[in-house]
Amino acid sequence: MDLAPAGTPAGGEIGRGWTVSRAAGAVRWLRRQRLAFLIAAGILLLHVGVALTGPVWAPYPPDELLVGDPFKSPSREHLFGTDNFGRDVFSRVVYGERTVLSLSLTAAGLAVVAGSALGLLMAYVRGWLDEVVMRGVDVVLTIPPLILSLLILGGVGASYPVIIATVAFFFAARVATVIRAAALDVVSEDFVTAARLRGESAASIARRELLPNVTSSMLVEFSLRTGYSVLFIAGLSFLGFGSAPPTPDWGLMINEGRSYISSSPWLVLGPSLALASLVVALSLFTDGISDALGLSPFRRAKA
Amino acid sequence: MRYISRLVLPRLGLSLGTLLAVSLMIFWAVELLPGDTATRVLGREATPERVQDLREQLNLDRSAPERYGIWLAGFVQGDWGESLVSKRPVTDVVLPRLENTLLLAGLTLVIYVPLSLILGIGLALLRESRIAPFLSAVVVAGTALPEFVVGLLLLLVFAVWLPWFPPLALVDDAETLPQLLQTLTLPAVTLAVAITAYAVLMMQASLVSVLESDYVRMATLKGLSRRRVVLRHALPNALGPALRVTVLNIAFIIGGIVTVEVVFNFPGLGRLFIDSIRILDTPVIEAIALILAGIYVLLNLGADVATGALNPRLRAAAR
Amino acid sequence: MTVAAAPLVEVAGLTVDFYDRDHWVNVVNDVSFTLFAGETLGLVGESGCGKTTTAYSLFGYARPGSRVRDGAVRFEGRNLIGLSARELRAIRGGAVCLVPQNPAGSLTPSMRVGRQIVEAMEEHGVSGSHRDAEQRTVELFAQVGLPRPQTMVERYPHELSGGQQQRVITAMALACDPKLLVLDEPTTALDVTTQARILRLLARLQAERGMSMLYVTHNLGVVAQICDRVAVMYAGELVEVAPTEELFRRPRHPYTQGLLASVPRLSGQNGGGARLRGLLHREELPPGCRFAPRCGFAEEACFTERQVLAATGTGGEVACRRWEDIGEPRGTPAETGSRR
Repeated sequence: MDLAPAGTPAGGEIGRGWTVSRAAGAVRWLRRQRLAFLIAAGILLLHVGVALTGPVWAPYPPDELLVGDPFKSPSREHLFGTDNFGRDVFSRVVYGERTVLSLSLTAAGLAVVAGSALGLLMAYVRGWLDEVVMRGVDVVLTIPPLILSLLILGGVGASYPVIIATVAFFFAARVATVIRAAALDVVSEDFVTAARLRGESAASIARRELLPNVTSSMLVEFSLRTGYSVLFIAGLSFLGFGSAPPTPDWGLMINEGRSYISSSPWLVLGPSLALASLVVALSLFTDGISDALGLSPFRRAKA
Repeated sequence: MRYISRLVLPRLGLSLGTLLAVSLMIFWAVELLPGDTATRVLGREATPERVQDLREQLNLDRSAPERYGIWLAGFVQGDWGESLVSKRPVTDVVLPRLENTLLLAGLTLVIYVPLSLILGIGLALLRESRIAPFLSAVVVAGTALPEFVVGLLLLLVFAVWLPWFPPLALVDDAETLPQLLQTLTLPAVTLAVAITAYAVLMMQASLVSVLESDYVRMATLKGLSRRRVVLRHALPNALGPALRVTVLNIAFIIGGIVTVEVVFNFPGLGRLFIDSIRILDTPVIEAIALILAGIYVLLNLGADVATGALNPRLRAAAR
Repeated sequence: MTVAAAPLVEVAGLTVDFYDRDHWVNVVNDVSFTLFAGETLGLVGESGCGKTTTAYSLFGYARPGSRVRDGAVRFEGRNLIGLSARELRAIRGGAVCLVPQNPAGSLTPSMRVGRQIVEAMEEHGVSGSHRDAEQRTVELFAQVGLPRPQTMVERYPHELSGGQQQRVITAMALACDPKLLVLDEPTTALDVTTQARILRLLARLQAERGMSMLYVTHNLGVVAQICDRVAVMYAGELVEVAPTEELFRRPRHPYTQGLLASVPRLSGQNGGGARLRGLLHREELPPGCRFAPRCGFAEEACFTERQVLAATGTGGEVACRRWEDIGEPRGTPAETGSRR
């Protein structure tokens, strides 16, 4: 008794696959995007640029002692002043960018790859194996990550591979639940059933329907986990379980500088500014892309 | 009440199971600590006989599963072993610190719960106004700053530039309540800031979603006053999901507490944990890890139970 | 229905826009119609044609993000647009009541159903004491056919079946004895039997109370049953308004003809005549007649000249410059050629 449905989008397939019109829509959307998102993206590019090119133009080497008198306040020569060893803080912050980004991106990437693989696998197998494994994942999620990380790093030693592995381990658990949920979401849709009835193979369904949806979630998770990684790893370094001195690591620098906070606050403020700008930019960026990809921008609880 | 048996007991069982699994992970992680424990502890005085004696004393010659069993059994009964460094019973070392940490957590909650509710509700109700993007930006900044940065900034402003609070949280020396509060305030505010931001965002999102629902529109079109619509129709349905996140955020304090205690030199469980790891005092490490994990699991359980209690749907399912 | 009586509702030139991401989209364009006491007006059209927005304007309500660019909505002579919040609140839920589309979603999950009705009555001062209101709720529940009304009032929405929820919603709308009932596709979610039951109930109550109804739907079968007059909307504009029988017997506007032709008939006389082709593309509406791109009778002038409602002489109005040329829908205009 219903009239011709006016809801079918022009030029698109029924279903949520990526069609040309959808991609074009995304580009149009990007152009109309909120100022905040664009600024965030800009700041991120800045950080990446610093990480890639820093050593070329940084005014001083990061560990050269006494390039100026110790505890000089910020000046034209030393934008963030000098620390207790007379090292230039600005240069150290610039070099620290590489450490922070490489560690965080690697950890987040590993977490997303491993977590997605696990999540997809579980969504595919279902049944008792899925139950058991997801229970295990729940247990991992119930452990306070910092506590266990400190135990492991304290025991095995805080080398970069171990840090990355530990962080990735915890984040992979969360990613697995998210990706599994996204995959199950798609699989239960009627159009997948319809596709099956049309005689399409599992592989083709996977490629045309499953993958695009899951990819969006994966991208958002990657961005989100990178932000959390930056915070977490900085925290580890601050507590002394991250990079070892004299590495120019922001968390470590903040810890080293805090004894002098009353007399020379820039030792703490310099790296703090860098850290805060990176994380805020990542946060806004994540919101932006999850909005663009049609996913809920609500933030999940940490862990 | 049948609700308790249908909803709470299974979850309780699950939590205990999880705790057991967590204790296993803690034990396993501690086992990774390098070197022979006995030799390490005795240090210079490590003669072969004394090492052997200590190994026997610490059950190090038994297999790992046995040791785990012994440890767990002892722990449950209240015997937490002896600190390898100070030789005092672990309970004596840990409990006073636990007390301090609980005080800190308590004050944090007193700040965090009302603050996040007010901000979350405020942001949701004012979402059309011009001040909203600015407030949102502030909240987003709150999620982005790590606790130690916030703590150090607060320290800088309120303990160094404006000497309103002491930079070192000498809790044990505080004699009167005002003194106590003075030492606790900065660390508590730091912790609260760290977790409030998330809760605010969730509360706001939850309330906005409810405010745009069909039933709120229906209530409005019934001619009810805005106050009534918000208080009786919107909030009760928005608090449920927000509550869950609120409680989970409290669990997040567990991680933040360690960092904040280090920043303010607070004599609590977190700082003891870090110190113990550095000197590899295994029994203390294990005890603290298990306590913290236990609290975390309990809070997760609390979140589930509270959400269930608020939601008439789930309550009915348990009938 | 005396023609001399003033209309209960008078919508004049209503134009509503909606803000979509970064630009305004027109949702309702220059819509005018009247509704008299005791009559039932059907408002039909496909999804997205603006009928819901028009219906909600009778509450002085516009979805967040929309603006009323022009026009007036008069209820008992007063323009709802521009009334203060307090004045609107007196009318909403009191003189004008809504029977919404989604009964399950329109009941507050955390509140017992009886309470939700009592609070409406107390807000509008309809029943005396709290006790009276509760008593009246139980009576209402019985009237709408809910079993065991005494226990039903204590239930939560999720404990009720779809049909029961619909009846609760209907009871809620009738609680304050409204002059106008706005029904927004109220039977979409229901099975046919329940649907019939609700319709019978509404017809009975209308006869009893002299209530007016605005029935928004895309279900022509229901329209034929209960509406006195029908207004057809397309892409935000009214294209035809006529007494029900007249509309079904001699639809004037090509769109109306297409609508009626789309309805499968048991008698086997299906198809024939103008079929609805294509889809509504909001971005590509011509400045003239908005239906022109899909119209089998469209000429060049149709695309550029704005169409306004004009009387047909048989009691209805139609917005089509070629309405006199267009014959009976059974004929096959040469331009159509859209038979399958």
